[in-house]
Amino acid sequence: MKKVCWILMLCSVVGLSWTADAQGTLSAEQIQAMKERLSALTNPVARLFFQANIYRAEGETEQALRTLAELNALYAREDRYIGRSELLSAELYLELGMPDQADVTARQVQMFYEGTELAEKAGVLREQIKQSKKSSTDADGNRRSE
Amino acid sequence: MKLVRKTIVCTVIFAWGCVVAAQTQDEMAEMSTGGLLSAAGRSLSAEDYGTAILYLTEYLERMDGMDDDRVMAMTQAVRLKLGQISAYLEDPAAAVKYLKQYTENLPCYRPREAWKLLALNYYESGQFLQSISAVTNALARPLPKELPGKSTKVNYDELSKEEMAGFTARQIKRLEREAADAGTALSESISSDRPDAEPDFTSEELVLLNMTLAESYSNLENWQASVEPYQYVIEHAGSGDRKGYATMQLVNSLIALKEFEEVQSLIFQLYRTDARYDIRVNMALMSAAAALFDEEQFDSSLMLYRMVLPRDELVAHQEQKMNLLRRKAGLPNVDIQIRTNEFGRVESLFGNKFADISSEGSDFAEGLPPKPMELIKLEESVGVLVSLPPYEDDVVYRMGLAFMRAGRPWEAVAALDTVAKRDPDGDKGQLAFADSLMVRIDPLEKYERVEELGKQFLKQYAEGLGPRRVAHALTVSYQKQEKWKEIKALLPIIEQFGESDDSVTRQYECELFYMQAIADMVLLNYKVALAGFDRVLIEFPNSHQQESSTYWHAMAQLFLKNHQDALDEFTEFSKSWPESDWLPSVAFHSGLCLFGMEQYEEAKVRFTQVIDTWPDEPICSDARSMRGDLYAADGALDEAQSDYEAAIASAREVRQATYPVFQMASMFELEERYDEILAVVGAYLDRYGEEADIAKAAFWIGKTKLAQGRYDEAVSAYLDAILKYGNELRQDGVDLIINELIGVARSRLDEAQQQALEKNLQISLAETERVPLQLRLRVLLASIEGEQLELGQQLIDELDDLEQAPPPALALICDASFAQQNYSRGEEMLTLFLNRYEDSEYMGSAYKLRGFQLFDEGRYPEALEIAQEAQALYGTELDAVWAQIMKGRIEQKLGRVDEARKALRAVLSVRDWRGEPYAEATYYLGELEESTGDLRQAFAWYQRAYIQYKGYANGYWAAEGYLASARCLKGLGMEVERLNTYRAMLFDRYVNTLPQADTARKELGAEVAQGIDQMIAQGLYTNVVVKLSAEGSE
Repeated sequence: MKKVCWILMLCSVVGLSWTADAQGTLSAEQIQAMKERLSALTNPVARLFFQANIYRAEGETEQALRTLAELNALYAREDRYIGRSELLSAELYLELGMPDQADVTARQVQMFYEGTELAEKAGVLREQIKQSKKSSTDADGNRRSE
Repeated sequence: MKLVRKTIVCTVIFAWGCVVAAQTQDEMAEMSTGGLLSAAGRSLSAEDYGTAILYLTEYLERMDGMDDDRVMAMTQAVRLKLGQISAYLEDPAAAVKYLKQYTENLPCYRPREAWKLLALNYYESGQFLQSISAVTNALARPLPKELPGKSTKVNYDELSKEEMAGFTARQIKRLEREAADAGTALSESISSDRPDAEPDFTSEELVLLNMTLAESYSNLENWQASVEPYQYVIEHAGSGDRKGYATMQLVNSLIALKEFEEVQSLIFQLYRTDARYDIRVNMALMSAAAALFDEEQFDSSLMLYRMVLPRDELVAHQEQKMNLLRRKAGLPNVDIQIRTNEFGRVESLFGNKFADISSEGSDFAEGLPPKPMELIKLEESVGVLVSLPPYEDDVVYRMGLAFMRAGRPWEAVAALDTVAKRDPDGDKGQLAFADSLMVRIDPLEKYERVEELGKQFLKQYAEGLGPRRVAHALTVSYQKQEKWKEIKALLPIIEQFGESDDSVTRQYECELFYMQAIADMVLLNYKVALAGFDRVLIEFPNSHQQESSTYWHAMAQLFLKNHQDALDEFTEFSKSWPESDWLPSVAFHSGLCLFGMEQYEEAKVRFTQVIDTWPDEPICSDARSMRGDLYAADGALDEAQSDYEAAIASAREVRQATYPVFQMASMFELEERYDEILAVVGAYLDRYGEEADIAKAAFWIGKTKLAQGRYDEAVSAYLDAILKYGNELRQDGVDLIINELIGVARSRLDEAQQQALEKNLQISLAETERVPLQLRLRVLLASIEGEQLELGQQLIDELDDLEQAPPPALALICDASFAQQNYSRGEEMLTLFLNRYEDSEYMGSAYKLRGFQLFDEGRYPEALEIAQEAQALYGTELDAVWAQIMKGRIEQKLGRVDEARKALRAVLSVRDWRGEPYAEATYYLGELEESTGDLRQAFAWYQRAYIQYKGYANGYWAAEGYLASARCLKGLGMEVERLNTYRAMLFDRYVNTLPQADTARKELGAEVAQGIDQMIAQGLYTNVVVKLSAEGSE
């Protein structure tokens, strides 16, 4: 019975964290609900992933990235979260105006998870980074020529 | 562990052998050779290998030298058997001995088996070349070799008794049958018979041979040769473990061959397997990851580090594997027990380990079946794993470094902080802490956090490498922020670190002191910097900063204007480091030293050396500019222009073009080549755009328009430039424009134009809230209206903080202070200029204030230094004449009369200084002579001051001259002349209203003075002149 409850709880946590991961912005009520769920979690990796998504929803991008970084660096063999955590980290690096770091992270996601959906998403993100860098370079060039 | 096991095995065999030897020595001596073989056969059947070895070696000894075909065949069979037994017992030296003999003699019926075993045992004994040769022979599939002339089976019935070695034909045939029945097991009987053609290697044997070959090549670091056999193993190995291990080893070979693309692909394959659960693979992962890190293959390195399993997880996996083997062997499951023994070492216990070979088996093992070899080997691997020092933190640390280098800074911080927290007092923890600070600096730029963490750490730790590395991180952090004073604040902390002999610690300490000296250079504390570089050179001889410290030491000498010392040091540097990257700079600065010593031709030679030897070096542009200046000074304007143009063309930085552009503009101005000024300045603006010194360019364009009589255009352009760039404190071009505009307003504009300009300025002033621009506009207005001193006074009262004051405002503050004879801010003002506006045209006022401050304080040598520096900068400019006069006065104060006289008379020889400076110098010449007691000569100079120069300085020096003349006449006892001098003073309309005239009135008495006033009022003027002969006066 206990085991069943635990599995159900984990599934709901993973589902909610996926939601947060996908949506990026959440209402205050949703954030509060996530915080309440977080307090019930015992798996340290799940807690990190969940906490990072709460930070992100609250607009604390750097804090979110730092939390995911801990997961990426210390729990790399936790298959359930690591791939999504790394991909999200790449996005957060980009949001923080660190495109080079975002590209490195996305490149490693492509490599580490080759042939998976995550790797595909990382490829799309890298393309976005490339475009954003190009736009930035063009804008600089235009400013100079003005 | 393996060595221990082997030792035990050998010891057991030896002990057993000794026992048997004692029992059977006499027995064996009695036995026939056939009996020996028969006994050996029985021992082998009972798997009593130790006894079998004794019988077989005895047999070989007895048969030694016999050349009978059958005996030779039997001897060979015995050798092969001994080789096989030794290999099984892991005695590679013995195995090699017998197998080598076997392969070197005939008949050789089992060459493949022999070469295979020989290869393995050569490898085990570390003879890799021989192992490769043996594998090659084995893989050549050698055929059995018969004795020469033999091609058929031996007919035992035809052999002699001796040839039968004591056996009957029936016995031998029985032995043959037994041998055939026993197959090829180790216990198989020995036969001299030619067996059937040797079968080919099995797939497993081929994998083994290739693995041995690959490993031998790897051990010999012949990486290329190892690739193919490893690939063979990966393709053909049945077991996942062996495949994983071979993959890992192939990765290592490819890393050594720098074939990183293939490495990455292999790692990716490996990442998807369970190979990492193999202990050897896990260990190899760590070394391969480290090697990839060293090769800057951070993605691959990270991937490998992520695959490394923590010891607990790995041991748990192995435990399951071992228990599987145990169950197969009829042994009970057992937990791996890890404990620390009495010697403090970690060891593992596996129940009945070694019980199969040790007579002192534990109680646990009593009555249990022996362990299979595979299990024993697995236990050995786990034993090795468990006895290793903990590696998990090391892996996390290295992952942190790999994240750092790969460009994932927050992951790096997470990993490094984890290690630092786990072991805050240990070496690894402290290194991780310092590395984490470095990541926070670059690229995260979390400077405040770095300072907070770093300072906290340094309060706690002062010993070893950690504190040095943290101090280094703080230094780098401050350096990035250009907080040079904060770097200097670290010095007392660094000096309190405990001494260390460790070379890396010393290296960091050296670096810290070097950075301290560099900070002093940047802060313009050249003397302190000099001492700092001395410290590095003396306390850390032959350090990594020896070359740089020597270079900067010489540079500090140059900045201190110790030109000769600097030149000597640069010369020595060139000799000591003939291949140094600094050499072009050294040659250039040697030229500057010679320039400073006024050895212009020698300087030109050095600049030419730079231009000819290092035409592509950035400093070549500077050398061109300097040589251009020297040519221009010599009047070789074409050569100067050529150098300036080359300097502009080869400029790598804007400043390298800015200098020659405006030098060339100055040169063209002298020859009124205005179109060329416009051309060169225009090209400069086109090339550098916003990076150019636009204000200075505007100054030159305006100046050219003025010269062409286009005043309105020039004024308008100047005003635009001031309003556009006047808020930038360091725009010295704007200050030049202000200076120029003041001159234009005063001399070239009519009243209406001047008023229009002032109105424009006032409107602009009212419209701006930007402090530097406001102050510049106020200076401009005050200067046009002749109210600079008043404004200067206002600014003294207004500005508590001079951060926002541009150079013209600072100069007015200096001038107002000087007018009040308040020299107290001299040092502050000059330091401010030197630190922030070293190239400003307005710095002269600060030099003057500082010079008078030092003179006033009686610090004559320092005052002399300042005067000389001012002269070096401003030459014979009118505003710098104070320096020449001060030099004379200082010499006088120092009692060097001739030098003082020479210095003061020098003023009178410069045409540009005519006027007030002449009056002042003349007066001080009088004072000098008076101080020597030559009152006549003194009188002559004083008189000249009020006769020739009365119109200057509002009559100040003339009035002083009158009073000093009267004083001299009194000293000469010439009372009438003295009073006449006073009378002349009161008649002199240039001075008679000055405060000094009161002295004359007092000396003459009120009645006489009143009479003189009445005479003047009536329009009577007299020209009272006191005549006195004085030699030498002009």
